[in-house]
Amino acid sequence: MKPVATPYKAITCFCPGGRGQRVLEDLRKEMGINCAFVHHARGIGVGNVQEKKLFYIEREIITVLVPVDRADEIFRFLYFATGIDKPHAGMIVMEKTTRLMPIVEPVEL
Amino acid sequence: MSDEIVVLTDAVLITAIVQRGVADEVVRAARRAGAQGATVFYARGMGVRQRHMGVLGVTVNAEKEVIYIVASTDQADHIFERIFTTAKLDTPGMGMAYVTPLEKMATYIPPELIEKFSDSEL
Repeated sequence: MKPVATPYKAITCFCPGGRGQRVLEDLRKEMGINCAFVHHARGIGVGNVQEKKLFYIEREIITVLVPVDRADEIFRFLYFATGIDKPHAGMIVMEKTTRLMPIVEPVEL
Repeated sequence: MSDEIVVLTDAVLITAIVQRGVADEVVRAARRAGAQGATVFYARGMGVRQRHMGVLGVTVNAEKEVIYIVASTDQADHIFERIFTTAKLDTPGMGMAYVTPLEKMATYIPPELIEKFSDSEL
């Protein structure tokens, strides 16, 4: 299978630790997105600044590839589903992609 | 809580892959250079330097730390430069850093700040 120049966007979500799994399930149930991944990280931001000390808090990073026509809708969904609309919760970013392998779902037998 | 999203543009994502244990110092330098925050996670990476440096490639540790910093386009060059010098990325095998443009980003913005800027635009 050759990589194709498909119009897809990459959405990356930096959210508080412990929400990733639930958001991935919500993505599948409500948005029909079956392919996304989450990993742990530690983060520092304006909400946890201490004098001359780095004070990290637990974070999770969710990455999902979405078709261009649904990008804004899923961006909005993730913004609220991950609770980024609350103070000091994180952020969400969207990037262009140039090449990707087409996501082919396994055939149901 | 409002259901509106304030979308920010002109932002970039700075990614730095450094030797394990170096990230804290890099984050400290980036914050001094104006970065608002950073996200760090562990990774394992190998490359050509692994093979060619030192005895059996033991000079370069495969354990890495990856740093994500979202910054405005204006600040990006300055922060990138600070990261580059702090992580000693000019030394072979120490890691790498790159900047990718972001189409848009969103985070919580205090309503009074939104009001202030919408007033100043009028």
